[in-house]
Amino acid sequence: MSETVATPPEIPTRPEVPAWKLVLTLGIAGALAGLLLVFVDQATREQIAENRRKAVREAVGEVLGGPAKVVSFAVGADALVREAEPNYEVDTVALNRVFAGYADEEGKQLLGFALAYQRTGFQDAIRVIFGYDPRTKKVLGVKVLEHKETPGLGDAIEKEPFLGPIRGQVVDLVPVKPGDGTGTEHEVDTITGATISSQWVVWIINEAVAKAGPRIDAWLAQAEGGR
Amino acid sequence: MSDPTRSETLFRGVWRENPVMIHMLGLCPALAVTNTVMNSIAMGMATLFVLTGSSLLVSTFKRFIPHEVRITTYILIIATFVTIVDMSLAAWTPGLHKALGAYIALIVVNCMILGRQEAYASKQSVGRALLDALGTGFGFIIALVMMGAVREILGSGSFLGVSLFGDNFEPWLVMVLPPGGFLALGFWLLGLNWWTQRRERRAAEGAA
Repeated sequence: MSETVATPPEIPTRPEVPAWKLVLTLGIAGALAGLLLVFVDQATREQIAENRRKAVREAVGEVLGGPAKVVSFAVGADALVREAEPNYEVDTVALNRVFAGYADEEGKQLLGFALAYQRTGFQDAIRVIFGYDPRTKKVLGVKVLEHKETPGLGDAIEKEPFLGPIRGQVVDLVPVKPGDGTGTEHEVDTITGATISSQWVVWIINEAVAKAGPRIDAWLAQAEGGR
Repeated sequence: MSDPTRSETLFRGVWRENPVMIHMLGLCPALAVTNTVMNSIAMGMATLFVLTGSSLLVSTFKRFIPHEVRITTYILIIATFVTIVDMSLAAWTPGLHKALGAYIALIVVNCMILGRQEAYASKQSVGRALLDALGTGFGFIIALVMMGAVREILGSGSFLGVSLFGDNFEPWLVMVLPPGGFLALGFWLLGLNWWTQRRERRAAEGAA
């Protein structure tokens, strides 16, 4: 019995493309994409900045418990410099500006200061704003302005079950695993499944106070001494 | 087999070959951001824009894109459109931008979009690619809204933010949480498959 062996069909070969053509194609595509994005960036930049200023203005009110008056201070090399009008343009990397909130329109009854600072998280920067009372060193309120942490895990840092208990705690804060705490006023429970992200929020608060705290204390001593 | 007509090209992605309910593509955003109808519409529109723009460019420049770097080029084109959507939403609808969060950037890796470039736009005329992208994009929006409607109605007792049942309604919280996405998708697939099988059985009985 003879068997006929089928010859495999010929696979069509593709002509080889020189490397320079591949590089050129990707180069042109990249350049065009970059050009397009520059135009879109120009068209949206001012509006995005305005949205950020609005978000900071609202967040300052929120973390200071609804102040009647807000004064912004530029953070100088060794002192706070009061600004004539509240300016909500914050650079959260440099901590260039802090906000004092007052319970009265005259600006006599200080509620505390709002500080906006950031640190790089898993994906991108975590931008946090928090209210801080320099007299008691207590946190008055915390809000996450922006983050790109893992949805369903790290994004729990912006939710009340985590942020709520930080209110009233005293800086320096200490992140502890839930259930491992001893109940001191410095401890903050981290989030199971988002331990690192929640630790970053705590460190952001500690670092911001370490950075701007001495200047706030100096300003407070001067303001209270002058009364 | 004859080529599909233009209307077939447009409408097949809407339902008969729906990317989510039939092809099971693009499930990450379909499960993640469909906790409200508005989020579903926003994600659907953003994806439609990226898909249409990418298909248009890929189809236009298909002759100039060497086979060896085609996937890289497609991803570059898709990522450009996603960045445009990201910046535009951040500028003009900051609330939606915050609600959709990291999922806007994740449109880049939505396999439905890359799939349409590789399977269709890179082989067809600009007009056909555009029709296919529009049909598939609208199909994606429909699927997301189907999921979002069930989840918002059961999980929040509202539709597009309008309360439906009054104060006595006890919301099914699980529906707006991540497991609710799996439940909604599972029940939709169950219902749609049951309906399709019943229709086929009846057609077979009618033919006999």
